[in-house]
Amino acid sequence: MKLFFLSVGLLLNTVAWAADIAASGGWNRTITSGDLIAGAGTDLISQQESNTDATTLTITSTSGGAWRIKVRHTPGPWNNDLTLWIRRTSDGTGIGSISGGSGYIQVTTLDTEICAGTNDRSGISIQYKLSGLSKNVSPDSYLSSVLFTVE
Amino acid sequence: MAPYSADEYYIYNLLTVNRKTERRKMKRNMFNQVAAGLVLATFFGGSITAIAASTTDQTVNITVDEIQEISTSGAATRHITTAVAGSAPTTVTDESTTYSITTNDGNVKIMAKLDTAMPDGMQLNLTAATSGTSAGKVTLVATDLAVVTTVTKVSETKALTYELTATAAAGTLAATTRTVTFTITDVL
Repeated sequence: MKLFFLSVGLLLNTVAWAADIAASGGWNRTITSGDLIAGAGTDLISQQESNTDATTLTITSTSGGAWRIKVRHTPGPWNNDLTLWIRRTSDGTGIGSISGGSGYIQVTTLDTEICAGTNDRSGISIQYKLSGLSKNVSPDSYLSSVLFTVE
Repeated sequence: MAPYSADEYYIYNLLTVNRKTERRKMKRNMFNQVAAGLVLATFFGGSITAIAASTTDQTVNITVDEIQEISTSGAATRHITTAVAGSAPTTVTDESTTYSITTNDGNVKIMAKLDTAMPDGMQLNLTAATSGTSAGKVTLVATDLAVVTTVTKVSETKALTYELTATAAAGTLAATTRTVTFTITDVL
């Protein structure tokens, strides 16, 4: 019985302190013959990068607490030769702190931490990179839903 | 109310008071335990906050276009000047040029054609090397003919071999130019 009421207290407090994350942007890229290394007879440039601020993240409702951001993706139609990478290119703004994720991290189907910080923060810029491009990747549209989690 | 003795009333009142006291104690305990939970949660706020997660998603959309690029290295110049007595003029060959191709398609062929037909009595033959399947020696005309019948997902540079032949009936011909156009098309 004691445990039950203690849990109620903990639950009330936890819900009140949950951080929120919002994202804007995304990345659309079309690979054409203009992406060949040196025209006909050469392969495609193997890596492509998005703009440095392809996605912007905002963390709110932290109540001054600590948080960390994890990332994973759910590939739609995808090609196994292709690998998606992600990195944090700006600190954004806010009174707290932020660290980690300035180097590219491979995005897989499992959560991977990209950065951590404290307090509310907005305008955290994210850049994407795609590797594994070559003539062996068949013409098609490849889709990935990138999921950011703050906890 | 049933008639009770004074002792019975005393016991009845004692029991009622005890029940009320127990209920008060229970309520106080519930309040204290919830409060204790809140205090604990506040004290360990940083780690407790991490229990609740919020998510958002973004879409990455990569479109790979069909790539079919081909180019050639330059011009081939050949001059038929001799003949063995009793035979047709001597055929000349040129292996100085190449073609480069990149395709991400699963199955394409390479076509070649002349801008205008060769003069009577003369032929221009072409053999295109490939990592796919070559059509071998092809006599070029003013309509598309396959010189490579199948090639798949390649980026390569290969040799072109031209062969110029003439019959005696062709006579003497001033220098003339023919343009060979190469086209990649899907194999249907």
